[in-house]
Amino acid sequence: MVLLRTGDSDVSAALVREAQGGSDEAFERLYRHHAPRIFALALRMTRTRGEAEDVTQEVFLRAWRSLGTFRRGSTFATWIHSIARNVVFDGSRTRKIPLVGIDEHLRDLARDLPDTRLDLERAVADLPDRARMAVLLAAAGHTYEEIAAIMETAIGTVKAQVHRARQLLKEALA
Amino acid sequence: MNDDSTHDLEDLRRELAPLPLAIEPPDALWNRIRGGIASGRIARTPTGPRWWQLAAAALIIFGGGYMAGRRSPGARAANPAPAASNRPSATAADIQRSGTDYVVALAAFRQLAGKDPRSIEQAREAALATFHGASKELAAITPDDPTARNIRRASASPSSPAESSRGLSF
Repeated sequence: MVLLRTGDSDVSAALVREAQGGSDEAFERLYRHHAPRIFALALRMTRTRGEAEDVTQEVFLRAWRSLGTFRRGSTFATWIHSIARNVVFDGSRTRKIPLVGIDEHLRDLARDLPDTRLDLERAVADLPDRARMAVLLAAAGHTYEEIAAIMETAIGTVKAQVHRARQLLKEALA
Repeated sequence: MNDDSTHDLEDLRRELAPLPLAIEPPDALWNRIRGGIASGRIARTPTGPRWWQLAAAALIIFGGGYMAGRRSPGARAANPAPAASNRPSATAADIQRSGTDYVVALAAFRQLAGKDPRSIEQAREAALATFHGASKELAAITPDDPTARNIRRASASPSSPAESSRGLSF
């Protein structure tokens, strides 16, 4: 059993190679390591646990189907978040996310995450969709370059989004 | 700009540090994914009786009867749509299963219908009729729920694929 730590991209790469060879067990280890961050991102993008679960499921099913396209030189975390971005925004066109209002979303978060700060959650939830995703990726430790790759946009755009989002968060929390 | 943007990133991470950025999904989710991998079919299993799940289930109940009645009026009396169980727990399970089937069927159709405009239009009409029927039931169950009212209003109004593709606004 390989234990993964955050940033342990070498181990992820080894597991990806095993999974590419058809190992369910290796893919499950990748899932166990990366799913909590994908689920957290999906939950804050869709605002509902049911939708977040569907998004997470779709992300990992697409990842399984597309493992052959994963190439060395990129990290699995960046790659899987790119898939998540596609699923979230593809879904937004057909499912019209978010399906619930911010107040209901915050009630659910307060129940599921009693330690979180609801004023901060509300401020983040109020951000425009793409800015919210960029901010959440940044907060999760991704670099500007990684966020730009995930969002398929220019680094300058990401920097501007993060800068503007910080201003909006400050105003919301003032 | 580089220094400012670097500071932005560092400050943002510090400001958002109180937010849990990793949340464990339910244990059952991996089983759904493993099942999808094994079968090649996406297995969507609702996790709770949310309003949209209830709506989706109502769609099936209404739409099933509606379509069956249209296709074979005589058969409806002979073979009525299965009544929901009197036991609330069984009814909830029926609703979840029916809602899942509806969503999976639409998702499968979206991928398979391809370039046949006629079949797309037929499916769209059936989906909207079903959706509208469900919205009426939902609004009847919770008449004071603004979300239910909005769903019913929105589902009654689309007149073309272009309009309906904009989705519902809540």
